[in-house]
Amino acid sequence: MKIFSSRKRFIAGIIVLIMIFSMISISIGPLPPMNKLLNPNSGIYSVPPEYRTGAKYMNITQDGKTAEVITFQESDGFIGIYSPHNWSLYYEQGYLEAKYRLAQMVFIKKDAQGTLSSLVGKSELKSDIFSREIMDCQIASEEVHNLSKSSYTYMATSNFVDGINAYINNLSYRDTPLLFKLLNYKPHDFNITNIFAIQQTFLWENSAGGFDPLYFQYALQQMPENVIRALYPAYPAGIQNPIVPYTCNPSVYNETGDIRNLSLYTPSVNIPLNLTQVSDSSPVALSFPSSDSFSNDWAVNGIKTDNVSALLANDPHLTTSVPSIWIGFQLVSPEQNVIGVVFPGFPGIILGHNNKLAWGATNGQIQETYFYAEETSPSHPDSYYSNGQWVKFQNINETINIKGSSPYHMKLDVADTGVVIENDSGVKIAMDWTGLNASYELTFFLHIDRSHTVTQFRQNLTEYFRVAIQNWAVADSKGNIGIFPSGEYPVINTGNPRGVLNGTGESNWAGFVPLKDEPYLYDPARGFVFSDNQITVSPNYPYYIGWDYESGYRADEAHLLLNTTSGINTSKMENIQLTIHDYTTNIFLKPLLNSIENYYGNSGLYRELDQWNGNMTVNSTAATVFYFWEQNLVNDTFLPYMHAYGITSSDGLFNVSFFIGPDSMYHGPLIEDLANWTVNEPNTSYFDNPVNGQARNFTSIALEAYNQTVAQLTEKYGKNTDNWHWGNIHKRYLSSFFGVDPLNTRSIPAAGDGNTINAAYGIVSDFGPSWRLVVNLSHPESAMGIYPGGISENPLSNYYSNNFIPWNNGVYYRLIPEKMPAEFYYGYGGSNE
Amino acid sequence: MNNGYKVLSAMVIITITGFLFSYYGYWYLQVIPSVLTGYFLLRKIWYILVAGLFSTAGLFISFIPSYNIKMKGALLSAEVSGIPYYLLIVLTLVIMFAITVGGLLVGSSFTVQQKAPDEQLK
Repeated sequence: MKIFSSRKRFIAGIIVLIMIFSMISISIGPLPPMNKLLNPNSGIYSVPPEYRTGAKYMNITQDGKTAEVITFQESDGFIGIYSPHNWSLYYEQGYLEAKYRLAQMVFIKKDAQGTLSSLVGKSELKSDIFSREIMDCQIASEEVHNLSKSSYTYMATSNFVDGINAYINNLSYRDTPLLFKLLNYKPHDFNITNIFAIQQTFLWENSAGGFDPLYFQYALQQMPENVIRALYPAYPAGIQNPIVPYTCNPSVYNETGDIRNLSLYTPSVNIPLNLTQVSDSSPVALSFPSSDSFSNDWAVNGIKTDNVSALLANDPHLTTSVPSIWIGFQLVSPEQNVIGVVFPGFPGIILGHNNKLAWGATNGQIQETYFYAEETSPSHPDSYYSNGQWVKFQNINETINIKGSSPYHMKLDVADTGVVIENDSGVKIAMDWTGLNASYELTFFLHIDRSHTVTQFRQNLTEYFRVAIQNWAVADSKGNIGIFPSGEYPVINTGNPRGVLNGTGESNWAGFVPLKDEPYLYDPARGFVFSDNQITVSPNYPYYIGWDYESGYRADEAHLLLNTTSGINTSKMENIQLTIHDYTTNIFLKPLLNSIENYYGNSGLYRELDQWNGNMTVNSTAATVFYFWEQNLVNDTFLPYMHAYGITSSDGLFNVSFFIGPDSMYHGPLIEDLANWTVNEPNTSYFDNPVNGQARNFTSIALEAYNQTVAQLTEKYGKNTDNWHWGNIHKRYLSSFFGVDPLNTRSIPAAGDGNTINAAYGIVSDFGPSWRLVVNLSHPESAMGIYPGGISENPLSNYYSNNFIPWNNGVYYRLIPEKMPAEFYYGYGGSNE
Repeated sequence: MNNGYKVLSAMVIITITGFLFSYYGYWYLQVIPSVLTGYFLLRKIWYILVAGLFSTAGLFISFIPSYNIKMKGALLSAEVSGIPYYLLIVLTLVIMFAITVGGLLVGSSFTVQQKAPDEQLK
């Protein structure tokens, strides 16, 4: 019997089928198997599940326990969770964080572990090396080892992790994040150690100081002392409104302290620096909040309010990313009703309020990293000299797997002064950081969520929050307010902590500033507390706590507004938060006009500047001219110093604020020097060109900068000055958290700049208020807030970036909306108030 | 059955199965109806190739209910991976085409038990 009518056709068909099924089942190069990736239903074409707003009622069962859970999903990026038990509350929070932000959490976890390279390849090797250097995983393991299994923290994190893993273990390929499909990655379970490693990575990212001392060492070694004193004073020049001024709390200024023993203008060591191989602490792939994060917070009490106990406002300035670095929750159980934002990968609420208490944070800008040049010798291999003897480095071997490449092996050296940072200088430089010891900031957050008074808040703060010092503004329903930059402030007995210290022992940490001497304010007579990353203390504070702060202009503006405004209510707090007046115009605008009047007094541009009120509005040409003029003023004044003293790009030129970095107009000493000289010493010899000795003053440099500005704007935007409107040039956008440009949002015109309270740093800005909160403590249920972005990390979701434009337009949402199930008003005294 | 009706039936069947398997994510199972259709309904190579195209039409129809989102997903994937956008779409269609044609070739290569004495295979 003839089976085949055409044997050739049969063979051809089989060959075609074998080839096609083989090809689509295996990975080709970096691409995952095509049968899954291009599947019309579950691959790249998959439609995100619908995000349904409103209430959902369910029971969850875990480890033989069952609990009722109610969730309420809102369109503003917040999800309310109610449960009669805390374990199920955190379980559900973990589940939902994984559901809406799984890729983000996995990337954060892998950054903390130092395993990003295994996912994305060699581009993240430097970041992974650094994560291993700061021993995130080892410290996290120690923290978990020492954590009591009967503690609230253990209960919360273990159930939180169970919730994450419940989602992961039921994840279909269809719902797998798009990036994971493209990377052919299947997420693994989380554990408690991962959560504490994530804590470590966020502590690093929010610890001020960073590698600045390494870069400043170049200045100390290459510039004479008089220039250091003039350009880089240890206490900022210019107008300052410290967070804890002497007049408000002299009690913390009484001690002798350590600052009088330190040499802040000369180098402690002279070493052949080469920082080109210093590991990048932040991953390329991730838009992290960082120690370069700036923010606003303030609180007012009955002295300043309109018949209200207290009000609080906070807007932390971080990278405005999609997905947002924040995710919003309301957590309700018999023990708490707290609402606010949290980092994906954390349980609880980090910034927000409950029915009695509200809190916010700004980065303290306190120096928490100290660097030491270790003395080594060929005759004492693998050792360093400390306190009169040779000591062996503690060695830790690490292996970093790299996708598409062979593993990287490294040996970590640990000394009594910290971990040795990889660099090419030939000198072993160790970094000490307050985060190199176990700490429980996570416990702090879980406790304050349930705290009811400023006193309770402070108690938890001083007990648990040691690293990444923040300026915590707090207000309670009884009308108490406070600001607490609490944490571990290192104390040394000698040397210059602004640069690299001698590692032989004399400059090791002698301890920390005693709690009683830590700066703070509690119910000050003036009726308000505030911080905008300005300097913490007045010049006579006895301890060294850092020197490289925000330049203080947002603080000057906030101080002016809070001081002169009475009858403050929610609306006035919002208006202050959205202020776009640049305080530096108060300092520089008149002198600029005086400098150019003789040459341009009859021009249209001059008239615009003369009539301008200093607001960085989108339809202002004067705003554009002033912004670029100020930038040129900084460059023209200080670039000759960089050239004169050999500061190059590999030394940090145009990269760090004190070497004319991109933030030098609002951060660091240079703009403050200019303000000080402009107001007090317009003919100071420090305006002279140090390269060729040319005599200059403010007027000559201001005029030169103005000419440059007009030429630049004309070349780039044409002669028609209507095209120079600030909104045509200055934009905001939300950048991809994963550093993938196609996932960015479009850019839109934006008001403000780096010196306005409503900050938008840079020209095309993805840095600014990542969250806005205003709370009336007499009616906390009416608190208002918003974060840009949305609940979902899926770029195909309608809730990926739905809050971007409202946020840019200054819209606030009521955080506990009307028509929620009654459970969500627990503790607030009723619904719809 | 008249040869014309067989071809028409084959095209309709292939289109419908292409749509259904794509819509529900089992596109690799398109090989089964392809083999059966090749065995019972299609013989000529030219018709087999056209049927392959109809299967891609079925796949494309499965995109219609959420066309914008699906294309956006493809576009984003292309941009993220650095591959031209059209290449991903074309690749998807080629895979469906190849599965269908392979199945049809296999099915049509078998002898049909009852056939007209004058029926010839090319």
